[in-house]
This record gives sequence, C-alpha cells and structure tokens, in this order.
Amino acid sequence: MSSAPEVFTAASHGAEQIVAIDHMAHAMGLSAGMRLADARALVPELITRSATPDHDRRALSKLSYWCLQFSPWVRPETAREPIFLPGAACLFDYGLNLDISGSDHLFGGEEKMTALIQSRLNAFSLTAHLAIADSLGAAWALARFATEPNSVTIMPPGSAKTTLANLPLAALRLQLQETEDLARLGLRQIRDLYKIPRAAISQRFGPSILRRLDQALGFVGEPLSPDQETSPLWCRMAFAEPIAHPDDIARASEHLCEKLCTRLAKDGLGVLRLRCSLFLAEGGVRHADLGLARASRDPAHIFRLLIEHLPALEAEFGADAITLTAVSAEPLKSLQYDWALPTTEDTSTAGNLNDPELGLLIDRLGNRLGMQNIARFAANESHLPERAVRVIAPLSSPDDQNHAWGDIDGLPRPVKLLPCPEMVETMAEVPDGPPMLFRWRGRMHRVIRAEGPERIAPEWWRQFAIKDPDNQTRDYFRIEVLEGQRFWLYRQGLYPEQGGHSNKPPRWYLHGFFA
Amino acid sequence: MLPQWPGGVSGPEQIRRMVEHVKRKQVHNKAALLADLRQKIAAGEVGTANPAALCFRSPLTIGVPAVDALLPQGGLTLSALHEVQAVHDGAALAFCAYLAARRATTGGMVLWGMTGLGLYGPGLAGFGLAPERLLLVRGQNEQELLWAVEEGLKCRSLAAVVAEVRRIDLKQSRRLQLVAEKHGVTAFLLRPPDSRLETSAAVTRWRLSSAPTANGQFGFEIELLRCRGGGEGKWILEWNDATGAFDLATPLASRTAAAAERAKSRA
Repeated sequence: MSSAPEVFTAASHGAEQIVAIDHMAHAMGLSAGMRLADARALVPELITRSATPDHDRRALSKLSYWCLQFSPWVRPETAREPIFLPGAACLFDYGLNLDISGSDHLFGGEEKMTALIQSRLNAFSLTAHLAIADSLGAAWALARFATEPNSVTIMPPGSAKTTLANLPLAALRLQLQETEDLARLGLRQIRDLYKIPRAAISQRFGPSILRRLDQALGFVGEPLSPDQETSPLWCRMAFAEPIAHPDDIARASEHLCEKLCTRLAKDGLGVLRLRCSLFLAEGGVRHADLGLARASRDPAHIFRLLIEHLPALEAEFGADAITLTAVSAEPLKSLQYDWALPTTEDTSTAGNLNDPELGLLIDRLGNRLGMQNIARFAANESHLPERAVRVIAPLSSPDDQNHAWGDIDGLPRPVKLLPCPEMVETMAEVPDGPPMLFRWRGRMHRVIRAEGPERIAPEWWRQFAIKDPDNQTRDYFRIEVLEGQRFWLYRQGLYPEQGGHSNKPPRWYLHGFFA
Repeated sequence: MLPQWPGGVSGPEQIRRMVEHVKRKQVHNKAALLADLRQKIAAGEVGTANPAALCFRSPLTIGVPAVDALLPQGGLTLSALHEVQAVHDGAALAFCAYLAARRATTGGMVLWGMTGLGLYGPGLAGFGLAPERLLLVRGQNEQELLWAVEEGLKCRSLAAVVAEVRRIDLKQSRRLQLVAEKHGVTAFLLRPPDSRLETSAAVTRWRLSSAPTANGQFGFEIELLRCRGGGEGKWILEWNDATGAFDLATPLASRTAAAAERAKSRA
C-alpha cells in the first residue's frame, strides 16, 4: 500500500484528466473526470501514472477467460468512450457479462457464487461490483450504479421494474446526448419513463430509448454471444486448495470425462471436439483442445486421448478448477466401415472379448489409424461370395455366432478375394465349358485343371436382380494354371443355349485366389 | 557340479538368474538343467509371462517332420519374427493362416495387418483359422502398419501377428524381432509378390508358391531360405483337407541333409 493516493491520467482536450482513482484518493474527495491540475491543488502529494487502456483491455480479456470456470457464457464489455458515472472510480468502464442461467446451481446458489467470485477478485486486488438480475440490462445497471465499492446486488427474480426505478437514466445504457435530452424534459430517473406513453417516447427520440428500457426490464431478449466458442455441454471441478501434481490433475480429468460422457449419453450425443481448461490459481487459463475422428462418448477413450495433452498444461502454482467442454458434438452414428464388404449397424461394445489388454490395444490402434480401420469378420446370411462375410466393430458381439464358415456344400472357397471382380479375356467352350486360356492383367495363363461350375444365382429378393436375372447368374470355376496358381473365375450371364434371355453376351471375371 | 539353489528352482527372479547363469555357459551339465527348467515350465510352476521363461516354450511345429527336422528345436521359435515371401499370393496367405491358427490353438486372437483388404474369411477357415479369431487392422500406409504391428506385438493377449508388408528394412525388422522376443507374441511378415526384398532380421525366411494339384489336394512348394541355427531346404507339400495338415510329397533338395548323408557315407 502506498502512502499517497495514486491516480491514472490521460490527455483529454489539451489537459490531463484523471481517469482512475484509488481508495485513498476517493476518500480525499477526488473523482474520476477531474482535471489533474484541480486534483493536484486538492492533494499536492498525488502520485500520477499514465493510463494504459490497451493493457487494461488485454487484462480484462484474460480475466474473462478466468471467468469461464463459472460459466461458459462470458463476454467482456468495454465502452469506447468514457462513460461518466457519478462517483465512479474509473472513467473507463471495464465489465464482464456472464450468463449464469445454467451454472449457479453448481456453486450452491447465487449468493455463494457471487461471494466466491468477489473473494477471488479481491484476491487479485481488484475492486468489483457484482450484480445478478433477470436481464443483462438490469444487471448492467445494478452493477454500475451500486452505492458501495465491492458490492454484490442480487435482484429478486421478476422485480426489475421496482429495483431499477430509482436509478438514473444513464443506467439504461443511453447515449450521453439522449440522457441530456431527457433531462431537459425533467426525466431523470427510470421511474419517470414508466409513466410516459411509449408512442410519445419513440416519436420524440426514436426507438433506441425504448429498446434499452425493454432490455432492462426483460421484455426484449438480449442474448449473450460469448467471446469463446462454447457449448452448454460442460463439466467443472473445483478444488478447495490449488492442485499442481500431474497425477491429481489427471485423476480430476478422468472424473470429468465420466461426468461429461454421462451427460452426452443422456442426449444421445458423441463429442467431436473437446476443450479441457485449467484455471490457474494466479489467474490464468490454459487450454487443451482435442479432436476426435469419430464422435464418441466412451470416457475411457476420451481420457486416453486427453492424458497425452495434460502434461502441456503446466500449473506452476496450482490450479483452482478444471473444466471439460464438449465444444462440438453430434448425434452418435454408427461407424462407416468401408472394407468393400457389407457392414453391420451394431457398434455396441458389449463384447465377448473382455480382455482389457485387448481392449486397450484396439483403442490405441483405433486412435491413430481411425476406428473404422479396426474390424473383425462375421458371417453374413448370403450365398453371394462377396456378401457372405461382413465386417463388424472389433468389440461387438454378432448375434449369429453359430453361422458356419466356409461350409457352403463343402465346396472350397478362396483365401483371397478381389474387392471388385476383374474382367478377364478367356477362350472357353460355349456354352458351359471352363476356360482353357485366359488373359489377366496382361498376362496369359494356360489352364491345366478346372473344377466346376458352381452356380450362384442372384438373390431374387434384391432389387437389381429383377431387372435382368439371367445376366446376373454366375457360374464359378476353380482354375489351376500351368505355373501352379489357382484362381476363382466366373462367367456372368447365360448363353441362349442355357436358356438365357439377355441379349448381352456373357463375360468372364476373376474373383479370387486359392491357396 | 550343478549349482545348488536354495529351495530349488522357483519364482521368476530365480528363474531369471538361472537363465543368466546358463547363458554364461558356466554350467557343466547344461542339458540336465534345461530339462529341469522345461519340466517346471510345462508343469505350470513358472508362468510364461515371465520373459526369462519365454525362450523355453515349446516351438511351433509345421507338422511335417522333414521340415521340422531342419528347424532349431524342431519348430518355429514362438517369440520371434518369421518372414514368408509369396511367389503366389494365395499360397503364402494360406501358409500364414495355417501357422497363425496353430499358434492360436491355446487361445488368443490373431492380429492381421494390411493396407487393403484381400483376405476372405471362408477361405481362411479351410486352413484352420477361424475368421472370428482375426483382428483386422488396416493402415493407410506401410509406416502406420508397422507401428500397428509393433503395438500388437506388445499385447500379450494376442497369440500372433501377421502383417502384409511390401517394404521393410533391416532396422525395422530387427526392431520387430526384439519386441517379439521380449513379449512372446509370434510375428509373421507376409511379403506379397511385388514387395522389395531386403535382408531382414527374421529368424526364419520362407518362400511359398503354389504347386500343381496332386491326388486331389492343393500342392504347395515351400522353400526354407534361411534359418538361424538350422538348415535350408525345399519341399513340395500337399494340403490334406481331411486332417487339416500338410503332407510331404517330394523332397526337392535339402543341402544340409544331403551333406549329412555324404558325411555319413564317407565315415
């Protein structure tokens, strides 16, 4: 504490003007807005400093981040021009607007919340006027026109009209010119405006005064658009004493992951982008942003990703609170597996693979490669070879476990299947002979052995088959060539001799490779 | 003289010390000591999770005595990297599936790493590998795949890892070999026909191609290119569907066996 009063000054209209005063100066009768010369006359031992509005605005911005621990809806507010508020300690208006609609219950009520914020701000050596009201306008007014420093005003819900009645008109955030105009008409307090018919005011002064009045009384909405990207899905954990040990921070984050995922589950959402904020005891905030390739609400998965970012959030003197916000969430859809095989909708993790080590491996692989790139086979009810197998999420339990594999009338199946059958040129006996020679990818192969045909007709219950069923019929042959390789070729389509009615000639394709 | 260990041989720490001792070749009757250890491991007194005991697990046999004879300890070492080069895709795939299935008979899943899906479940089932035992892992490129393979090798819940890699250099393969040695998951590198072949740290190297069918059974030409502590050879095998195993058709060439024959005839 200095022994003499301190003030901040700024040049204004050719003379130095006081823009901010401290308690001692206030007690000695100085006020913001006075000319420095006058102030010096009153208090010769005055200490003056240059006002630094830019620095102040940056500090306010930092403080608004710090306030994120109380509510994600925070917006700093500074007036461009100094507002002359009677008895104010500072010409520049530094304010923070918080929407605490959803968060006051987390602190045990409005009184406890404001007491907490007030004590924290005082710990930063800041004097603050706090006000809670139904509308932004009312809260603004109550905070700035409070009578004592460090005051907390909580307006009873629904009593905006009576609470604001005695405040001067400047509390409505009117322009200076408007306030003067109204003063000339004898209107000085807000209550005076209640009696005037609305049409008269808007006719005389335009719509702005009425708008401000309605905003203050809560008749017109004034949504708070926060500075930061935010979302209502957030969880907070505060500590009685600041924690600094990385293990403690990790445990708290893990707990928050579970809380957040419970909330997401209630809404049927999965998180895509996550922000973990650490609120430091000395007033700063550190953020860690995470993105997920696929929406998830698995707390273990999210925590495993988060744990890698936590060391970067250093808290030298400890953290007061941690919040976890789901910045972007979407309805949790099933994963899109594009393995050129039919997939299943089932992504439940009620697995028969209960081994935690395996689960951890799958997660780690999935985090880096993408969850859609880790899968298992499951049998599918279809005799079309490319549909006989489907791909499922690794930990899900398919319902038809008893479906036999490869047991298609005892006929062998290839070990490798091309995702898309490739056309080959063949020389074969018409109509139903196997190929004797074929060319695939530019190489000629001589067939020394062929087994088949195995007829696989299209599934008649599928729409495309109805158009041209004969063209979709496949006759598969197991082919062995001179070099030893074994292929799975098929002829698609029937010749007229076989009873085919299509006017397109049948074509040959290579579908797979045997051992 | 066998060193006397107080209270007999038990506990992971003592096993480790014993193994160190044996390795340093300070023991005269090594065979007896090893037999004792093997018996203890087989009896389940020492868990195979103990890294020191890993090297004493019974090896993975191919199932064809002529081939197994050329492998050290009569089979493939479990905690090691083995390489299978494919002249023909299907043959090598089937061989790897067969080996992985044999490795996984005692339980555990098989991780199959690839950059694009070509595996066909029903076909693999024919070689003994139940498709639901497979964990399919697809990487966008070879680097990702090798990372996934390494992660898989560190997971003791897996029985084996098969990876279809086109390019892997000596350093990477040595790294995989060390990880396999440490954790005991068997690693198989499947090299497709168009891969670039370089020296590798694999303990055994095989080359597989399809051979003409004989007796109604698929034929395979298997070549053991290189084997640490073993021989080399080339065989034609036939896949016996009924028994679910390979049968020997004709031994084409076996250099060390022939040399042994010649040495015997000279003596």
